[in-house]
Amino acid sequence: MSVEKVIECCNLTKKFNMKTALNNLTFSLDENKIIGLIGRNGAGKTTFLKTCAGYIKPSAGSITIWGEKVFNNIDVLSNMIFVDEEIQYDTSSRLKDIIDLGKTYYKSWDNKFALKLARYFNLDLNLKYKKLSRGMKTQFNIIMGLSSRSPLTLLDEPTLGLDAAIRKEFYNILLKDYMENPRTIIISSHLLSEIESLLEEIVLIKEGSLVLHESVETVQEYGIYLNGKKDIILPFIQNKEVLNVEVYGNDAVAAIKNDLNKNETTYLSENSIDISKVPMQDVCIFLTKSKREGGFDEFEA
Amino acid sequence: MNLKHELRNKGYNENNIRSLKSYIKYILKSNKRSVLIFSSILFGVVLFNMIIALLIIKFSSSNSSSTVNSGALMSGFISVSIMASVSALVWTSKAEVNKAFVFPINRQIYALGNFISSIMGSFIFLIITSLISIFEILMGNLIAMIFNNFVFINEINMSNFIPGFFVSLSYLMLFIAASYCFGVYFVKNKIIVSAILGFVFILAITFPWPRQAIVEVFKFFFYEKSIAISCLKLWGTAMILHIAAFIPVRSMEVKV
Amino acid sequence: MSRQNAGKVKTLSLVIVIIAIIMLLVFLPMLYYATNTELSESNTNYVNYDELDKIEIDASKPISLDYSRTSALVKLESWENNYLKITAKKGADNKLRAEITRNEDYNKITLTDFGISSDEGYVVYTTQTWLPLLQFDKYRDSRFNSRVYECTINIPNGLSLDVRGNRYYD
Repeated sequence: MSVEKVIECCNLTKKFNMKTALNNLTFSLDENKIIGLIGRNGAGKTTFLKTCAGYIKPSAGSITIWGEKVFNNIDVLSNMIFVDEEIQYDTSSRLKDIIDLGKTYYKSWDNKFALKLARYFNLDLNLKYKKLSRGMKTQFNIIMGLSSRSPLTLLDEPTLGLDAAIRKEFYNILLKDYMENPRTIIISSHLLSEIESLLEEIVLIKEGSLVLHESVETVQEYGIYLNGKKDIILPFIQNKEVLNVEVYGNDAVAAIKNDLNKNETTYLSENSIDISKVPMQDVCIFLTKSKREGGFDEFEA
Repeated sequence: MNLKHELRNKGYNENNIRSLKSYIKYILKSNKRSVLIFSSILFGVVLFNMIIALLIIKFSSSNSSSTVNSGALMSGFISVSIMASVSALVWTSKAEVNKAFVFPINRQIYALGNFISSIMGSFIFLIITSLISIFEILMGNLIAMIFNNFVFINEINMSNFIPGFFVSLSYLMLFIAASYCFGVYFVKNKIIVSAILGFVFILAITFPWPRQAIVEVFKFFFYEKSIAISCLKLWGTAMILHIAAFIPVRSMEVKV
Repeated sequence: MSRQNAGKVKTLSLVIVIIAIIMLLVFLPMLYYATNTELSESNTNYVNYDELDKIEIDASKPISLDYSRTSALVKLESWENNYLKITAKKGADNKLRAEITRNEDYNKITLTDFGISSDEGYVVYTTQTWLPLLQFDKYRDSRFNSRVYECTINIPNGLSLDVRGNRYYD
């Protein structure tokens, strides 16, 4: 059975005055998956999601959703929802009025689910939106995002401002709802370690460019740590794709791409070099590292 | 769900209609507060005038007379014109635009929704004004029944009410369209619009012909003697202004 | 607590709606009478110009001051069941007095002035029509800008009405 492509970008570029937010992004995403959009602050994640949501136009290149251009396309827009922390509902509206609006706007809106979530999160629907705390606003935005049951759901830092317990609950609810109502969900988050278990694919962006687009399993196997004597490690990694190196006196910890052959593994093992998997979060951090060498202590302004 | 296939089958108007209906509902709901404030103020003004009249009756000396010229229709129209113009201006602000685009909407529906809701909103405000006017007439008649020295003159009748309602609606459409169009261009480029306004102002002070041009524009609308032609001019200009406002909206980016 | 508040708001709304309906039911017939009384021979007092001085008229019926020279019409109504006094003054040119209700096809005459004389103080309360109608001649009196096209004056018992007007031609 062929899998439909939901998002296809070709040389997608977006410039704001002098700054290039998206730089020749070319990739495509399959439908009915939970995809993580990962990158540092200012990498272009939000710009990409806003372009998907039809808020901004590409400066060059193209982006299509279900084969259609997004900008001003009501048929595409009616089948997606974008949730971020900057969402502004009418502040004088009550929550139940906003939920009512969701019901009128979205064909696939599940009102029962929305009310259930509101009760679960202890949100009083008679409250006005402006009276909510930051955390409650985030919870409400999540309710709107999930209840729309839109075939394409874009969540930009959906758990910002939530405590760890609520975040965990949200992930459980999201996963359960996704299993019952499969759709394409793109989540951008800094807390990769928390959402790792949810994701099926990772799109890693650095300074508007695509670094990596792989399945979660591939990224989990992407890198390995070599931990041992620096006299062994440093010469060994000369011809390797190095992700990161830290030297502590006579010892060193190097993160390299996981492409060791059997002989190399034996050599390292014989020289008491400890080999371990690089966590996915660390892989992403290393791949999106800036060109500056060293940490803050070595930094010269 | 095979959305790709669905989207390729053109003639898919359901999304447009749903989005338009929802957007109009959103605009009217978010202006509920303005309606309540306006109704309260106008009702208060009318009650205040009635009370003043009663106080004059009670405390005035012999052989003196007083006139209370009032009219919910008069005060109501002026209040609505100001409120609607300001609301239309505020509606074009970035914050309000961002709120409008939270839900699925494209720019065509946004512009069309604004136009339709300006008609509906004006109509609702004028209906409220009319209802308060009916209340005023009822109260006037009641007080005239009770007090011997209260003369109630009602200048409102069907032959002036209905044409007046439609002319008032037409003027409201013009004021709203002008504010909205100005707001859209101002938000897009504050500096250029301010510079143009300043330039026109300086020209008007320096030379007579810009002043004359402004007077001619004023005369074009306010000196028209025929009701039908007046309404045609007002509605026509309002629609042109809405179309002009759509030009920058068409490619407007939101939430930037 | 929020349920209680919602309940209170609903009750208050219901009370306001009921009061509004009662008001409408009680006063709408009165308003209808005030604005829709037709002048017909059987239910109208016709008063000739020459007879005007101080006339007692059955105030339960609308009054038509009919000036035979100009065929102008004045419609006055009174809510009182007592007699209504009318005092009309003749102008120096001995021409028409006034028309408040405009005839459909001839003698375009507009209200220019009216006055009320009384032994006590009084208040005249006028409800004016829509402001934009000012720009149209037929809704505006050229001399006094009174915006009167047609109006009904309710004269309580005991007041005398003096009405003056001018006749003009296109």
